[in-house]
Amino acid sequence: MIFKCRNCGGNVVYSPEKQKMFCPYCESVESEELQRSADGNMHICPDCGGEIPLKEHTAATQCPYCSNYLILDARVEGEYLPGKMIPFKLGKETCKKVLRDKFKKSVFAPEDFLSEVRLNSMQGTYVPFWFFDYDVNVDYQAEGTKVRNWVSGNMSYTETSYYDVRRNMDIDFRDIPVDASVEMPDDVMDLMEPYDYKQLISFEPRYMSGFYAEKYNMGAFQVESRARKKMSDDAGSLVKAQISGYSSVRQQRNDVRVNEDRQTYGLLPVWKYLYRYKDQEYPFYVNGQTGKIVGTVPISSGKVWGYTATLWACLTTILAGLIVWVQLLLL
Amino acid sequence: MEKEIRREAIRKYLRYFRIWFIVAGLVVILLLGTLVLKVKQYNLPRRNTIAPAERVYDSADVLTDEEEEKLRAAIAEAEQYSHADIIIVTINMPMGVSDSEWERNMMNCADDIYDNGKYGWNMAYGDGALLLDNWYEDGEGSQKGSWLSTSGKMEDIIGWREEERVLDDMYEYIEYDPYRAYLAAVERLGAYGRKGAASGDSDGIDGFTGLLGAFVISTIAAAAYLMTHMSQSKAKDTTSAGTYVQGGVPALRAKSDEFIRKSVVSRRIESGSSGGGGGSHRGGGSSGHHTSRGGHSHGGGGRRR
Repeated sequence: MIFKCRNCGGNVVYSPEKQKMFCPYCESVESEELQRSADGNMHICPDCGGEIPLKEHTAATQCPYCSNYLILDARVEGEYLPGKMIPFKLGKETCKKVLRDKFKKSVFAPEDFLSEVRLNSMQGTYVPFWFFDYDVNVDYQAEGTKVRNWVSGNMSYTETSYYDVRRNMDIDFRDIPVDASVEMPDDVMDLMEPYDYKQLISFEPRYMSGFYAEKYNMGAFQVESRARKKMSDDAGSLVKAQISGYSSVRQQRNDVRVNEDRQTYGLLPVWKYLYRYKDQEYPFYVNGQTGKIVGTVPISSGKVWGYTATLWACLTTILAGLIVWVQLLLL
Repeated sequence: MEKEIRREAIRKYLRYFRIWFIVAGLVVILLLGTLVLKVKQYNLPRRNTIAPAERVYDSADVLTDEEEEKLRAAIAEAEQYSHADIIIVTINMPMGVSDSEWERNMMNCADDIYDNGKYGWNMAYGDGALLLDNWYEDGEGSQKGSWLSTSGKMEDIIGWREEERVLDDMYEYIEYDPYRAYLAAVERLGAYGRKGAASGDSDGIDGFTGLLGAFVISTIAAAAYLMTHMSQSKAKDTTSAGTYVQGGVPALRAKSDEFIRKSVVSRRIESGSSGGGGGSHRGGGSSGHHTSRGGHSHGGGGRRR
């Protein structure tokens, strides 16, 4: 499918800045008209007839010939219909500013790292996520100790009291996200969290226009172990937070029983900036809703040595100059 | 494109280090300016032309001819940078048995020699110091001792503390190597004349140590700068255990903390002891501003040995 402008026929995209559908050609707002393609998989651009290079899991992409954004009907419907999504809140310009603000003090970064040309290559992508709900009961038992010290005469005493500590709690976990994209690194996607779920809405394809997207690459059962681990770790932390006043706590039992579980499929917004430097790729990921950044800045060895040597030379000149100056004054 | 990036990189580099470049430039200018000034000052000619050229009067004959020559050369050098006359006089004559008599006679003698010679770097009776060293001893006892007579700027610079320092330097060697003792006094007097009292006292940081220090500090600072800018803060996990819990908090169904048992361990406290420290003290001498018999202002003081 493709969203066309009723006024000029141009490709209408979703503008995060305006929070509206926007035609970049005639600047009309909310003038979109959905055009479906006979070819649900969009191998051919319906606008220019060019062949679209599609990857196995592509759900939305840009035509390399006419630059129109296309959404693959067959990959956002039926079994691939997302239940929910968070639309992009950060547009490309805002995202560039976020990156520039974050890395403006990285003096050793290559000169063109934050250049306009490079940053323009940034792509907004809807990443497929599975959201897991768990209604769990945690039954916890531990041995707690309280230690008291005092001195009497020339004797010191240490009293250790032992307690049987038990806690039982119900925890209602909602929407633990686990990315279902092979291409996106799991640790990076975990660091993208948290998203503000107050802005979760039902899926609407129009929010995909102007961005790239993938359908889920892995089924819920393939990624559930990650969700269960998150849930289990969080449950352990929550139950331990209920225990206080002890010098030490030795866990004896921690039974996490899942009474009910559900999973839904959805899309979350991520900006990806791929910077290439000296035959190496440096990917940066920006949460398309909150602006949280994950990535490691490349280091230019020329800058490292140039800047450090300059600082050293200046400092040596200043200090040595002042010392010689003082010596001269004393002559 | 490549050229534009390179140009921008140079612009950024210059902007980044502009304060450093300005400060370093100012220091270099300050240094050169001071150097020019000092060279001019150093080359100032002696203005007193009526005082005798002799600086070493070894009446007590404790110096060899060669030592006298070396001392004269050292004094000439010290006078050039201190801009003050320095005269060494050794005598072997009774100056009085009692301390007060000895001091008065030594002071008058030193002042008289200075005044009669019309010494002073800038003018007659001007800037300078005369060290009178008496080697007299007879059957009644020793009248050995030294007196320092100061005049002009040296009178202002050398107080009791400075005078003691000159004599301390000198007395370290006086009994077994008078030349070395007088040389030490000349160097100290020269330093006072050149640097003033406070700086003349301190041996200060010599040039090499200072430059080495500057080199080390700069290297450490550059290394710290390098490490600070090389390290990058990694993205942190900003979720908490309650992030995905409905309502933010779990429902606590049961809570119990049952006491089981208690154990007590006792331990005898070992007592310890501690010691104290000590101290030291030292004595001093005398000095004062006065007018000589010739009617000229002098300072200084002395010490018997």
